[in-house]
Amino acid sequence: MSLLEVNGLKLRFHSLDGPVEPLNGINFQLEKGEVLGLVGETGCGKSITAKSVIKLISYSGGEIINGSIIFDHEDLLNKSEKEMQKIRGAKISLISQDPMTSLDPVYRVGDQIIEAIQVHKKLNYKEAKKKAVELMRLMGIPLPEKVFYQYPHELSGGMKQRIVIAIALSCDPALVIADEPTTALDVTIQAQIIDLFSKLKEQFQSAFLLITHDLGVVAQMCDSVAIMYAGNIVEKGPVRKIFHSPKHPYTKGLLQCIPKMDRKQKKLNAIPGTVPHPRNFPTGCRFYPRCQHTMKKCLSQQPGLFEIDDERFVACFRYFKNSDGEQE
Amino acid sequence: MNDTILNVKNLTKFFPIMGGVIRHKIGEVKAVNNISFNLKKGDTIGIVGESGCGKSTVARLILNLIKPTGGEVIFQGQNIFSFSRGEMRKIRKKMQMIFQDPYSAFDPRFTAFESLSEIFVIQKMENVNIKEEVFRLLKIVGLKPEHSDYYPYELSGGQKQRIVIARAIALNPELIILDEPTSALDVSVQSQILNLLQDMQHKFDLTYLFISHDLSVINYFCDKIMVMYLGKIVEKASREDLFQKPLHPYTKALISSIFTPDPDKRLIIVPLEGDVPSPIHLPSGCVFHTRCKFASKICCEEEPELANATQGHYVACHHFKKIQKKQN
Repeated sequence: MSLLEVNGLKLRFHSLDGPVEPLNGINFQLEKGEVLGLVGETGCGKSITAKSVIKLISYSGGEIINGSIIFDHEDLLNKSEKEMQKIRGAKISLISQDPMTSLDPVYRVGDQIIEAIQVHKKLNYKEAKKKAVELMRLMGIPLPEKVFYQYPHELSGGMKQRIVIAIALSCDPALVIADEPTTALDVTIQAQIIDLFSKLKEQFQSAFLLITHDLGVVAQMCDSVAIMYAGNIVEKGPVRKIFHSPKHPYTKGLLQCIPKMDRKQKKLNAIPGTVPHPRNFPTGCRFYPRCQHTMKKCLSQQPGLFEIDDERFVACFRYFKNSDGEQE
Repeated sequence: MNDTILNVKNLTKFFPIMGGVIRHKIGEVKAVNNISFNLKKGDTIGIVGESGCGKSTVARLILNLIKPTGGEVIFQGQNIFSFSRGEMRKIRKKMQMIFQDPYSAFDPRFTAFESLSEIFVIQKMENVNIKEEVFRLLKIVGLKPEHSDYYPYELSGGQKQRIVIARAIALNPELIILDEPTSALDVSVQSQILNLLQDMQHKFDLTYLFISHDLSVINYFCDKIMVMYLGKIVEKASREDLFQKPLHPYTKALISSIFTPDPDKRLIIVPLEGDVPSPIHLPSGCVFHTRCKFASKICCEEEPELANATQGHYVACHHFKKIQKKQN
């Protein structure tokens, strides 16, 4: 049994122009201690997938209309808000993109870590403070006893993100959801944070759901990858397979878009067109207007995820085999 | 010297910090500190650095959008800081800028047509058939005439950036300053825009000053690269030299924090310690010595000059000869 199983997740947002359904039945699993990268461009639905997993989506105006989210043998969709509050922060925690806005500007950072600890654990202030300082030291914060008494505005972006990570890990969660944890940071700071994650991964044995648009970060950190496009997972599998032999035309395009460091290219490969808006997703395969291999079938039918080899799934008709084993 | 289009000499900009009871000057932000470089016609030179290193201030100084504290910018043989506003408006036809954020580059109440036609009105070009000209520009950047009726909110980020480019090339400029032109865009759109910029350069014989924090984009796009740190140029070299034989420890650190999208090439990250110091209280001597592993006594006391290491390769480091020896 996997730690987290998301099955057929569908969402609905109500807007003035009628309902929008940005997710089209998302399925994925996450094992204990695994790092799964959820990758895609703006508007593909990766952040709302993450918010749905901890049932925070209703605060953004969304509603889960279908599917199940099995975490640790229990379906989170059957839980009440009160039960969810006991899970959030203790068993599943969230690191959001922007460390500048996820800390409260009027409280000392140390007290914010303590708050997270005391909500879930029966520790008095002194014990909690000891744990907080120890966590800050683990996060590579220099002089944690001093930083404990500082306010968020006194810290740099990288330091703030370390505090946010300390809060997320304060109760040894089984699952950490990190939504673009390094996007707002400079490259050298990003390298520090990714380095920190790799160390924490071994120490805490938490599973990570890493949401990002940066394929470099995924290659660096993840065990497996799920590529999202327009509300669907179009390809998923172990990180090596996806990066070395991408199958879905979108994955291929995405990997070719990145400028290579080791050689001078004459021209970059680009995927023509743009990501469609959830209101006017094309019928059939949602990628076909940008795809070079469009077949007749793609215009009318939507391909489901299909296992093409061990642990690798692709949602593309080019890899579907009919009953004779021939490729269509 | 004839083909030099832009000559920047000892350019310096200190922003005053006002405070106290009578709002007097209590300090300075040393944003750009004595930098010099040449730009030849048809070249693409890149400026790379982390946030706060002064790269955008350089761009604004070159366009005379802010007044410098010292130094000269000589564009086609004339010092632009000696110009009156009227003269500056004429010269701005020849030097254009493309900003980072296409979302805020437009008046939300103007259609694309109005935004583009405004240029010809401002520059008092009465003999131009504005409608034809706008359609011609849209075609050049890969958009259709019907896009001219769209409002900014109806266009995607990539389409908006295409219109920004159309606006920049409208008056046949010689020099275009690109300030992070793709960092607000998704990777698949980024490669479209980079390709478009390259086509424009060949077609119209443009000179680019390309500012970015993304080394892989800089590596793809630029012939010559300058690395900035805290308002200073720390290394200046051709693309090959900079990436294959980086001499400054900061450049080395930047290059080693690039994540290649290849899971087999996971870096053993040697992250740079600490954060960028505040530009208000610059470290004494070499500005990088607080984070540098090669730092010795001389680094804290004396500021290194930008010295010629090999043909066309300049570096500001006391220890570059030692580093060079190690490489050979």
